[in-house]
Amino acid sequence: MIWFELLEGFRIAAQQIAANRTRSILTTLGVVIGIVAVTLMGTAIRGVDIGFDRSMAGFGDDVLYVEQFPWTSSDDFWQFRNRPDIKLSFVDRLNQLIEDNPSSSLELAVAAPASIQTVTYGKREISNVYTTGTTYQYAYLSGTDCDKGRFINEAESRGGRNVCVVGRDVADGLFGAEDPMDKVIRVRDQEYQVIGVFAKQGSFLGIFSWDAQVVIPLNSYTKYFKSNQENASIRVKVKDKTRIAEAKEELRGDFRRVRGLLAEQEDNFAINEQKLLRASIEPVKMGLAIAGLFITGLALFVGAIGIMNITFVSVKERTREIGTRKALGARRRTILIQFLIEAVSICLIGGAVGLVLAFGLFALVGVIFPNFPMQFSPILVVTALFISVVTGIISGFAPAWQAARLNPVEALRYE
Amino acid sequence: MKSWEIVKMAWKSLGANKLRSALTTSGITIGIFSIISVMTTISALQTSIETGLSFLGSNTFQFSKYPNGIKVWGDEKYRNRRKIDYQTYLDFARIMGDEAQVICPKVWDNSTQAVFENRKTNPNIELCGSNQGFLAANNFRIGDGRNLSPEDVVFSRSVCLIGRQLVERLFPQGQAVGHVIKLNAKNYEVIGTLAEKGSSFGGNDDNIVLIPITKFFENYGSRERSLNIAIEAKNQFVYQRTMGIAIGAFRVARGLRPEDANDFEIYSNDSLAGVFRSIATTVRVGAFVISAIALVAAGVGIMNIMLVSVTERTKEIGIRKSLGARRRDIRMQFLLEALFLSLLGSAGGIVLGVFAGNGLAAWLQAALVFPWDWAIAGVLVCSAIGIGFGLYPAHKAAGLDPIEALRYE
Repeated sequence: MIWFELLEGFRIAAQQIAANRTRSILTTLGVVIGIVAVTLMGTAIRGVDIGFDRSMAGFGDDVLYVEQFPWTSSDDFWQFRNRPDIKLSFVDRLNQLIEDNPSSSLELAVAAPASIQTVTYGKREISNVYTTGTTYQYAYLSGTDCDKGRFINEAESRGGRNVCVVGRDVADGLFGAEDPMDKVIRVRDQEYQVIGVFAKQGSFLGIFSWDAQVVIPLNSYTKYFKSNQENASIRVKVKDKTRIAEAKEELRGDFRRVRGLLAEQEDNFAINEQKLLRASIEPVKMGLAIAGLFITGLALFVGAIGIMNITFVSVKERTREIGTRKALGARRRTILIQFLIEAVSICLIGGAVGLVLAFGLFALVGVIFPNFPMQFSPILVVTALFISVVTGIISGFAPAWQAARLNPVEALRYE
Repeated sequence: MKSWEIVKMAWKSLGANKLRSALTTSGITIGIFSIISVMTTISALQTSIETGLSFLGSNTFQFSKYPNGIKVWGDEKYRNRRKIDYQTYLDFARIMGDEAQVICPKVWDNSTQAVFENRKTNPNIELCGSNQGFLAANNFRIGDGRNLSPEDVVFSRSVCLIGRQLVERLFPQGQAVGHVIKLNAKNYEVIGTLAEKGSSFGGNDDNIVLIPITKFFENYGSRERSLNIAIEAKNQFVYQRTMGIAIGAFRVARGLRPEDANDFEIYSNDSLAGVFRSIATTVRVGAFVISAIALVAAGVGIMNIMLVSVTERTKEIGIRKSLGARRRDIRMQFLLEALFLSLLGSAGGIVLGVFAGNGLAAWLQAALVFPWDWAIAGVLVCSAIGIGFGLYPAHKAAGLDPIEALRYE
């Protein structure tokens, strides 16, 4: 019986929509505008998310950083400043501890002290280059894909040879159109041979660019740039990134042992992870996303009001028809479903057209502004259609209810 | 037919279908609400940011070696300029005479640490060597105690004024004036405190210490230190004139020949705020376009409802036409209906939008504003939408053939 009612409802809806063509098109247009706005905003928000994730990728989502200062709070400088140095020799102890524990959730610790240096080649000079000294094992825990050449190998790492891998921007800035491979550059006052150029990694919120870095062997770094010891950072790779909290706890215990801290002493080091940075940006991102969706959602809301309005008109116009149907035995439910189906159909058509339009615009934007972060996804399609159905039901309900409650006698008498 | 009659008729027919009119109007209300609330929020934020950016006092401009007081890394053009030294300032001040209200030399060190008894601060205090004009030229007020005096500068006395944050950190009990604090291992007597200013872009204005510039050089050396010189004009009418004279005087003090370009930067609050303003304008345009989408949807709604209304009242139109109403009258009647719908909606939207926008701004602790310009723009846009989307239905109504219309069932 319900199937029959549904079928009948669809048939009447299709007839009605076709009968009042201008009206249906305009009503649908309202929904289309709303859906296009919401969908495009959705793609933009997702795009920003992905761009943000990409810029975070440089930190690695399975890497913990043991450092003197926590990344987020800089409130009480003195408390952190007077902590003992993070010595590079701790790395070996730490690796020993990790090895000794067969069920360790940590994999490998690598030293990566860094400092800001000026890099020159011939007459060209780039200041503010993030210079990291590390071993060949760095490749295990950080992206070291190279556009050209290769990363530091084990022999160079152990021997502390003066070779370097440079970031994309450094290579472009120093060499321009020249081939950077095997050229000798100066990092502060030492000469290094370029053995590789990193693939482009992008910047972190425009504050810090992974492409403006130089990586040299640790042994060479400690020889020439040792005065920057206090910036030492030990990076530890976690085996399973879903259990990072556990790994952090283990690392904390291990490092306390390395440091020889007594049970009652507080930690005198900080364990950082990219999640901390992420958490500090999250509220801003959320705020923007909510504001954007809210504003575009208003357009959809206006479209819904339009549907409600037109359905009210439709109910009024067809009062006699409703009266006749009721007199012939149609139940309230039948009438309710009939008008709801009308409203939902309009919304679904609007949603489908809106999606197609949004996809077209999305493709257009992609062509005109290739850098604009946008991302279209199947989830978005499902969400948009779902929203259309919900919009239709909500906006159609009040008029449909009014129609369903009509008294057949009154309705038949209506002029 | 009198036009007043048409207006009344249009108004009445809106009242006849209350629910329908209310729904149509609410579409416009939401559209306008969206525009006004977004614009109010942006204006409020912009006002508070600009207030924060104006770190110079009114009618004040500044000379410096680097643009905007921020060092540009690796830019040879600025780095290789001669520094502005104290002697240049003295020469400049002598040439200027009493042409300016205040001439204030400033030299900064932003890694200072302050110590009082067993309490110490983070080593990130902005230590400024300046003269008595500092407060006026940089928009500071005295909280407690007194300002630097010309004698403090001439005799390079070991005195200082400290910002709010330092008072809280070093003197939790309050009373700071009269105590002796150590700044980078040198003793200074606190003669006053600065009133709270709040943080702004480019630093925290409450984490600051002011000492006589002569003492600054004496204690921390003058090598490699380039001065910023802030000049306050006597009033806004002579501001441009003062700036012209000051540039000339400064060129003389720097010993530039007529053909040389200025080897220093000139900036004012306006030049700083201008950079921000251009960003804000882009954001505004984007926000306007996005929030106006709802308005377009509402316009489509008006058109739809007007078309329904024309169809329903075909008979009425036929009667009016056969009684002598001209096309123009009919068109005017329906256009006015559409216009009323959108104007009613916009009034509601403006009220709602101002409340919501200011609520949000208050929550974000920004200044409250009423965006007159956007409210007016909203009303204009709405009228345009009412007329634009009402045009087709009105035209359709006006074009009806009276005989056909009368026969319409």
